[in-house]
Amino acid sequence: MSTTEDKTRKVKLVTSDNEEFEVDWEVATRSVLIKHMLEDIGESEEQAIPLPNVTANVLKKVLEWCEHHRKDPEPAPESSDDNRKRTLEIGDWDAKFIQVDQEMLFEIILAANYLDIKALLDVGCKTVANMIKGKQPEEIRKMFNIVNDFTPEEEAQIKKENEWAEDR
Amino acid sequence: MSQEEIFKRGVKYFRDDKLDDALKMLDKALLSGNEDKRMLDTRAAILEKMGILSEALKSCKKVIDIAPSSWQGYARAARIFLKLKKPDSSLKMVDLALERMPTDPNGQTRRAEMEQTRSDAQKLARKLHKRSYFDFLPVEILHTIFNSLASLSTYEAIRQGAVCRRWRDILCGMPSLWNALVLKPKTPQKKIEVWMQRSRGALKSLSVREGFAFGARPQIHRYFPIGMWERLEELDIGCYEHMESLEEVLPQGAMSRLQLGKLSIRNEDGRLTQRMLSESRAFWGLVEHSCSGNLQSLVFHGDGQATLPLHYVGACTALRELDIASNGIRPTKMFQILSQNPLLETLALWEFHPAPIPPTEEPSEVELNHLKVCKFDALNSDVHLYLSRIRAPNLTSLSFDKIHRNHRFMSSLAQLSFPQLEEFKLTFSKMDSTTKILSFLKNSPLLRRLTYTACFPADVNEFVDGLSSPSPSDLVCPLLEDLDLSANPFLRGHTIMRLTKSRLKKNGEGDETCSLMRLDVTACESLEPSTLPWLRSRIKKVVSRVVKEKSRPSYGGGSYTFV
Repeated sequence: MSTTEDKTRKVKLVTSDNEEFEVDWEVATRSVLIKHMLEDIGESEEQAIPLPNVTANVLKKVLEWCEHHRKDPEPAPESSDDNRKRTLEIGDWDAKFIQVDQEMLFEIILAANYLDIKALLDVGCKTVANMIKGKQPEEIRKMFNIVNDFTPEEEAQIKKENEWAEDR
Repeated sequence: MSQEEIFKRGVKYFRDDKLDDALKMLDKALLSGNEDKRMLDTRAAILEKMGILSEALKSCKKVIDIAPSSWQGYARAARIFLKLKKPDSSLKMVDLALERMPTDPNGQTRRAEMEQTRSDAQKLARKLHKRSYFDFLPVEILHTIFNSLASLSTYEAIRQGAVCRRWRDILCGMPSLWNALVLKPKTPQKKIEVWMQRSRGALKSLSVREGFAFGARPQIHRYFPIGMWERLEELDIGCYEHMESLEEVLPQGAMSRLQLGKLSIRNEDGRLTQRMLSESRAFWGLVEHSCSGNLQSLVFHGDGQATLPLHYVGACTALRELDIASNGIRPTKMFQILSQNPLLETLALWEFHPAPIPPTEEPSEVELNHLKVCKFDALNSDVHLYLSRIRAPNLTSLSFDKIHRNHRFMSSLAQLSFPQLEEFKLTFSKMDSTTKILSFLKNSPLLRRLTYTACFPADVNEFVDGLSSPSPSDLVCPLLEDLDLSANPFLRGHTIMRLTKSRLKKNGEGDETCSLMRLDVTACESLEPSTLPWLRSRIKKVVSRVVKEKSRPSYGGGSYTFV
């Protein structure tokens, strides 16, 4: 539970490339990882939170998302079944926000995973899913620089299995 | 000069950017005494700055040999390997340096520099090795991506296994993608084996099609352990020719174990007969006894061939979806079922041959607070009963199809009010006037989607005019965003233009925007061609497709196809 005092508090974050960001408590705590770290260090406001797995350019982008979503309600815990009810729809603002090059997209996904920001991770994963959907394997390999490491026999088996999966 | 003095002079030259002189001093210092870690590291720094990287690396190696437990040699080697475009070696050196660096606040800057080197080396590795960004994603993120694709269809996710071995291994290890199985007489045994193995024997959904029967395939029984039938959640039976009864679909002993959440019986090839349903007494008995407590969804599409034996499903109390297309549906029995299922969210009734209702059998009112979606199809004889006796304050979607000149329906509709209604559809129906429909729509202030398709002979222009008003405060359905007026051949351009004008609003910059976001005027033949550009300049999406001559709609039912 956050208090009024928490909401006015500032939080210092230090990236792997040693850049310091000072942000509102409400923005920083969109990250469950940072929230837990702040709970651990208690009231010592001066202590900066080190984020050794995130570089400044990525954190800047992540904080932009956190700032926009600072008032969003906390997401409800998901059961594994909820995954099946997902859709690939992304809100207008998020769709525009995530229009970045492939490198930044994957960096955002990794940072959201590390910082434990489920809603941002979800936006990233849906964006990748949207890039994949409807495409042929060869197109996907080309787009993401993936090597086809199957033998011809394996490819024949997979083709057959996919035909079975299509038979509804 | 002592060795130390020569070294200090060398450092000074280095700081003054006199690199040749600095190197000479350092070489001299190293010759005039023992090899020293600081001197070798400084020599490496000078060479690094001069761009003589292989020599610099040799000095780093010497630093590591002399002082293997200090971080300096590894840290510089990490940077030099990166410059030499050897990211893997650089990453190794980064790890070794970080292991040795102090963790106190003084060491934080150096650690941060090393993390930056690591990040740069990783980027270079991706670039040089042409590795995919996917290689750096942990398995759980790939699970999330594949689950997102599965929300479109499990096939969309499964077929990605053809991309590379890692994706395939991950997909094959996700039981939720393999827990729905479709069985047909020609389904290969290998498919059944693969699906049962990958779902880890926990099948959630089973569809049997084209007359598949377990009795005819004894060799596959071993893949279906008897305990799995208790965990099966959905059973979808497509009735097909040669099927004698519904009992023969599953293996012996399975039926009595079912605790289904969803049961669908569909007339797949028009061969579902009343005789077959009558022969399936044991099946219905088990539905009644085993499933009724859990059954949340019942779909019966017997079409014009058969009547759902409603008395067998009379014990259901947990239904959330009831979708029935059947011969005569007795309202008394149906209302009894509705009153026992207060959690019902979706009700769809499609009647083929209505059963006459004795006047004494008129049902009493039922309150369904969870009901969101209602669809009535060709339910001509009793539709007014459902409308007037179901209380559904939270209904959001209401549809009628093929309702023909039904005055009782019109009267009931005009008196209704669903304050939460967001969608209303009236299609392929015969009616003389739209006044009562407009009265109903006036009571639906939250309506966002309206479909009024192929309804004759009432004047469509009169109906559309009823939705227009010069005064915004009198506007019917002021939140309307999506209007489907397709297959109304008498709709005129000026009518739809009036409607559009009544929904134009000025934004902050003085520009006009239309609150109507989508308009479908497909097969509206009287619409003047000049109307479309005018509409398109004001409404975000205007649909007007060409319809095949021979498949144009006629009132009284049917559908139309597009070219």
